[in-house]
Amino acid sequence: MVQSCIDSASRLFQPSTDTFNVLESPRDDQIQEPPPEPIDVLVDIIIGCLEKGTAFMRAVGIRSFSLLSGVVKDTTINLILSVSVSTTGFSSILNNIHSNWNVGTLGNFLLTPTKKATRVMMGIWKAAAIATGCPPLGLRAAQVMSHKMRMRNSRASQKFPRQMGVSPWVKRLMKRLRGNSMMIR
Amino acid sequence: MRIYTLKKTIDNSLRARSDNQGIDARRSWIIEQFAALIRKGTIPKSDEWVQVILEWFIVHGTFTIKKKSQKSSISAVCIPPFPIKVWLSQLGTQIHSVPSPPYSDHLRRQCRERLLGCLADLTRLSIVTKMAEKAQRFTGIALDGQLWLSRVAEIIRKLEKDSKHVALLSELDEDDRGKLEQACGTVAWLRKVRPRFVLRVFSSEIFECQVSGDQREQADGVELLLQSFIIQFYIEDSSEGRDTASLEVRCLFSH
Repeated sequence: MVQSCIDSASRLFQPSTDTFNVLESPRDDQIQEPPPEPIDVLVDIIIGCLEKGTAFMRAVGIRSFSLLSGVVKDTTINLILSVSVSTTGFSSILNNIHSNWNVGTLGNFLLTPTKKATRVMMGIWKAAAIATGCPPLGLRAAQVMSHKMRMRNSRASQKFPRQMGVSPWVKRLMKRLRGNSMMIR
Repeated sequence: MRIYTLKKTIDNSLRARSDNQGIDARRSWIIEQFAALIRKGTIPKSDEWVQVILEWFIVHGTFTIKKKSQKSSISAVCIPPFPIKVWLSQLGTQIHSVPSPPYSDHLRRQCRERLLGCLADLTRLSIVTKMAEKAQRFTGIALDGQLWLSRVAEIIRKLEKDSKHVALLSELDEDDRGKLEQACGTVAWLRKVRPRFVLRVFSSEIFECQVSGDQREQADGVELLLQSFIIQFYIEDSSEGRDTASLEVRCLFSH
């Protein structure tokens, strides 16, 4: 775990890994498949921290996620959602996504119209579309978007009455995302 | 002076009853008091005394004191300067000598737990500083811009080198040691790549501050993670086992 954290740290801050590697860890055996995005690995570690459940690890995980949320990518959101699928149980999440509450909730967290926020929001829509599977991606995203607009208009939904199935730490991470996007403006 | 008053309280209470059980109970009470001081949000924090408490937790939780030193920069190991020492010894305190009886395992574990708890509190704690026009909020760092976690890790490593006066309770095996050194190396490297900005310097140019601040943030985030691992190497009981297995599975799982 520490090893992967170190690796991804050095990759995150050093885009051209070929030229110079401080930690001399070139792994020759995996040339074929591209390594995961460093931010994905880091967020993965953070999720591990949150699941561990000591107050210390949770505080560290949440804080470092809010610091790192500036570099979050589509795949990262994907990862967060997929982990939440595996932890909350398939049926409940399926339910959620079919009724679009989950997506609406996530989207609504990012109402501030910022460049970063829109980018991240697109990531969420895309991820949600992938998670639901069947319909083509664009159509699905459009559906989600229109649903989201509807949700914004209706009063009741703004209080998120039904947040079932979203595990607590996903909520926490999403809150951090929103906080960051507001801060950066 | 306030710090010494704190320590005086400790040692006074040690004097009050000499049987071991009484001492343990009092020490435990003191540990709780220290933790409460940091946890309580209404108490204004200054770096100085927060650091003293953290040092105290570190020294008593993860080290045994062999001999007190005149020159040590760590207050829990250091013999106070002359006038204060006289004042304290008139009170009959133990401040110039190694604590006896030594801390029990139970108390040490309590120290470690409270240290982690305090760090969690400090990581969540934000300080608001007034810049030129607007107030800016910083979370989890001391006034000089250093993360509290980094500071604690530094103190531990400094103490570890001072083998004449203190000894680490649990020796790390070679595997852990290697990982630890690598993590420390990465932290040092991160700081070189993304230089640290002192808080006060931030104020002048807003645009530049935001750009560099953004990059700095990410480096801080990674550093926070790494430092937490480093601290865990030292602090977590080997008997309890570091619960890394599940995390490793998770790492492999990511695509």
